[in-house]
Amino acid sequence: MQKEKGYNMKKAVAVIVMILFIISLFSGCSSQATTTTTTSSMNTTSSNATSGSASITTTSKVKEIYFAVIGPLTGNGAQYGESYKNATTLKVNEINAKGGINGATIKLDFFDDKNDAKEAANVAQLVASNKKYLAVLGPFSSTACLAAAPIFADSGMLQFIPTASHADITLKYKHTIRQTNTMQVESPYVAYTAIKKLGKTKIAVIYANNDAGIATKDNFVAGVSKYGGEMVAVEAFNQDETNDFIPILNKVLAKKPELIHVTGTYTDIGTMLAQSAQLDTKSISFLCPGTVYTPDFLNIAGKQSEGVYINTAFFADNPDPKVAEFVKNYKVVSGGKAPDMFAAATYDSMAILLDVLSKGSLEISRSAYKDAVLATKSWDGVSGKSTYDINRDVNKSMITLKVVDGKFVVAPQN
Amino acid sequence: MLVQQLINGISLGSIYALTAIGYSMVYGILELVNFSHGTILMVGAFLYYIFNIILGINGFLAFILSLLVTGMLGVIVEKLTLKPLRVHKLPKFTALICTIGISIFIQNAMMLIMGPQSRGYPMLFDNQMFTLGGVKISVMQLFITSTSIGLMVLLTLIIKKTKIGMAMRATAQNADAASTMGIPVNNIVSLVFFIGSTLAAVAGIFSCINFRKIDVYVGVTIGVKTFAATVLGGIGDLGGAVLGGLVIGIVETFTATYFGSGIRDMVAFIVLIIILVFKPTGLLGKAIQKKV
Repeated sequence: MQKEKGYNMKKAVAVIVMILFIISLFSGCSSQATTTTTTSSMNTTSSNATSGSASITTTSKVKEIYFAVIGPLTGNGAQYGESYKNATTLKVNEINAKGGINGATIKLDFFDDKNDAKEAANVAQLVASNKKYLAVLGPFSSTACLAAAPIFADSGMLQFIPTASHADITLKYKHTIRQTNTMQVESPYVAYTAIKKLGKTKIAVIYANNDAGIATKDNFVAGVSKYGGEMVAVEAFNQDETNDFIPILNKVLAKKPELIHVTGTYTDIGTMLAQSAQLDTKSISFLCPGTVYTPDFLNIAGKQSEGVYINTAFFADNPDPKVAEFVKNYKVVSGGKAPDMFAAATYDSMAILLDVLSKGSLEISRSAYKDAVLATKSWDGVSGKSTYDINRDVNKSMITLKVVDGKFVVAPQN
Repeated sequence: MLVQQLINGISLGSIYALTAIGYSMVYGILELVNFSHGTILMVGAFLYYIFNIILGINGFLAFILSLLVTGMLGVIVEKLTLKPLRVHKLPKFTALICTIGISIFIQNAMMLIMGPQSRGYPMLFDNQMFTLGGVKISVMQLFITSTSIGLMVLLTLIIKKTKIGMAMRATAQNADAASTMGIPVNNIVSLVFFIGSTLAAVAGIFSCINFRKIDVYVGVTIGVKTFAATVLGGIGDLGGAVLGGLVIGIVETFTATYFGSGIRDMVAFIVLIIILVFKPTGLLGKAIQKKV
């Protein structure tokens, strides 16, 4: 009896596994199928929208305008998703408190991409096929943006990218505009900072092995040779998998660099620096991207953060009154947490979106709105002065900060 | 450089070894791969953080407290979720799936409580470095490695020399027969979960001290690697677990130094596959005759 039961159990398991396989096969097909149907339906949608908008103007007024915000609300990038949520909510609250835009209330819907390319594509399908969204803001990372962009491209929708800096995004997808410097702009400037501002010649780079990290590394290496520096070491680490940075640091330190440029999240960089406590790094300067401009970085890196240089576009102690006001209001929304550069760039992105909306008709179609936003030439926001080039890429002014006594201060070399 | 990396590898490997013992013990007694082990490890590491940083309890007291609480958590989880399955004599894979469920539940609960971000981890004491024949060793590395070795020896002695150890071995051989001989099988299983979870907490705290940060994902990476280490050494064998942990730790460190950090995990798993091809039961594992 017992034996037979076990046998049946095995059979049942085999059947379940087979069913799961078949389902997964079908779902693979069907998700492709949805892509094509969405595309075709979107084509009709956009034509509907243009013809529909004419009829709407004669009838009722638009009461609500919806935007979709895609970011990593859960998972290993959730702290960035939080910045997205707080920054967009703050901007929208400010506008709605003043009575909205031409009488219409602005509404935001948040979508979670879990900082994962597959999820980003799924969520993009959902947003693109829902006609109520005028435009989309996000996703957060370059990898997620590259996954979502083709879907929004088909839908004729505007995709405003606050933080992803991979050059391919705006190059390949003409419906995108961004609010962060690309690696082509930023990384050579980091090289310039290392060589011309800080006066170092023997340079090493440690980068995260992903879309953004590789692009950063390539542009940085090109920048170093342009400004007359010497690359002594180039090392990669796998993000989210690497916890132990000692072997990488050992390898790089053996090449005797004067300055190490580290890319990645503040967690990666903070952990790496904290671990460097057991190595001899006194004579070496670390230069980090703006990702580490957050108190959490100081908390993780501890004493080892002392003397670290940071290139960033956003600086909370900026004397500009609008930055001070943003920081104050942001803390109210976030429950006391100071904004980081992502929050600032997202806030500016939302500001541009709403500014364009306020200048046109509320019955604007997705494609007309897209063209209007893409025509933005410049913006003076909380994350610095932005100017847009013909590729809809932004060029933002940057400053170099230094950690002194556990605080971020403007580096004397600026 | 070579000796330096060997020492780094051993200190990383002894953390893996501690975790691997937990996997191996549970498997040895219940023939169950406990996938919630990595999550328990994370909880143990977080408890130390909570006791020390948030509640401000002195380092060593917080350390002991978090070991005890984590051990109790292991016992409670076993009593609530695995024991009912065992009592109803449900197939082994039900329990296996159950441990995956436990792991997801605990991880998400922890994320709700502590949030997803990484935090800096408190050191147990000041990290001093000393040089021995040109090789830099930190006090922390020495402490981690010697505590790990000490615990392994202690555990082996308990299992081989004491009455409780004998009861454990009897339960491992045949739980039904052991229970007819008057061995309280349920208590023995609880004890095994207590010891396994305590070791996981030690490993979790040490690895977070080693990496100097903590987040709710710390158990995932360590869990996968130590599971590989357990299989590599021979699952169910404590010596094998230790050996497997050390092999994975050393291979990883050497790969990262001499070939590049991007392929460190790949090489560790290639070593696992090669060993399993030539010795399917693992380095020290014995072929088990299946009762048909």
